[in-house]
Amino acid sequence: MSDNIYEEQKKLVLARLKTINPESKIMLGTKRNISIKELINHVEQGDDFGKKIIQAQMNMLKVLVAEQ
Amino acid sequence: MAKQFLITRPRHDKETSYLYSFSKAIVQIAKEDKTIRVRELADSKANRTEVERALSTNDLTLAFFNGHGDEETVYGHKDKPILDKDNVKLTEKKVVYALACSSLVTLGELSVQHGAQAYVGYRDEFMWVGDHSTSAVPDKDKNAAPFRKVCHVLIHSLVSGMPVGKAIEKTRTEYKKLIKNYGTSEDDPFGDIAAIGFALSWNLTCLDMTGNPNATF
Repeated sequence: MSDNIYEEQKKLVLARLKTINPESKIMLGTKRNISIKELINHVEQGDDFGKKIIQAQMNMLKVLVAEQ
Repeated sequence: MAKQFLITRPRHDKETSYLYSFSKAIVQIAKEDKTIRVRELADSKANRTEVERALSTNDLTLAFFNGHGDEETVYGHKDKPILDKDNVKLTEKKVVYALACSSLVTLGELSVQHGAQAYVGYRDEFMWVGDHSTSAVPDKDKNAAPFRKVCHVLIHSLVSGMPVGKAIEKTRTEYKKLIKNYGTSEDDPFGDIAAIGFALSWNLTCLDMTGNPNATF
């Protein structure tokens, strides 16, 4: 994926995540909770977890725009 | 050939208590099916010795592991390893579904290399959203309901004899339906609905299988 596409996806995903209550918590099977605020931090930092978050959000957008 | 449904159900912490709750319905359904012998390893019985005993059979077996996991291991009661590289050969000829984090990555591949028909699992962490006000009672947690539903769709499809590949596709379709329901927070800007949508889309991205998609129980 080109850097431009990645940066555009990152902006889009951040915009979406910032519409969610930042204190909402997601439970992970690995014995920890993660808040939306922390998800945003991972995406902003561009770490491996942040990149996976972008991928999951892009998949979500594909599902949302797909026909039934 | 007799059919054996092996299920591990630890519940020693909050996470395993949710998974325990998610699998209640399938245990009931399987026990009512007279063609299936159910080997339920709950709580302290979800240990390595019992798992190895249950897997040491030539019966057609569907092994459903619930618990913590990582790329190389699935854990049971008190987070003791119950399936890893040292005993994965026992999954030969079996269909395996691990509702556990990340185990598909390495353990799943190893299982199929040792002759498992198929291994269904997650390539990364399994996520869900709980209602923190009721988190001590997973059965009553409405936020967890969509996650309970997809987990049930998958295991019920497998128990019913659907080929593994089709069961995964059916589950992905269910994930997509739920994502459409939970995908926006327009009506719930300060609640958990959009977080649920995010976690569902994460799980959809990570759910996969290795082995023969035509394998059945």
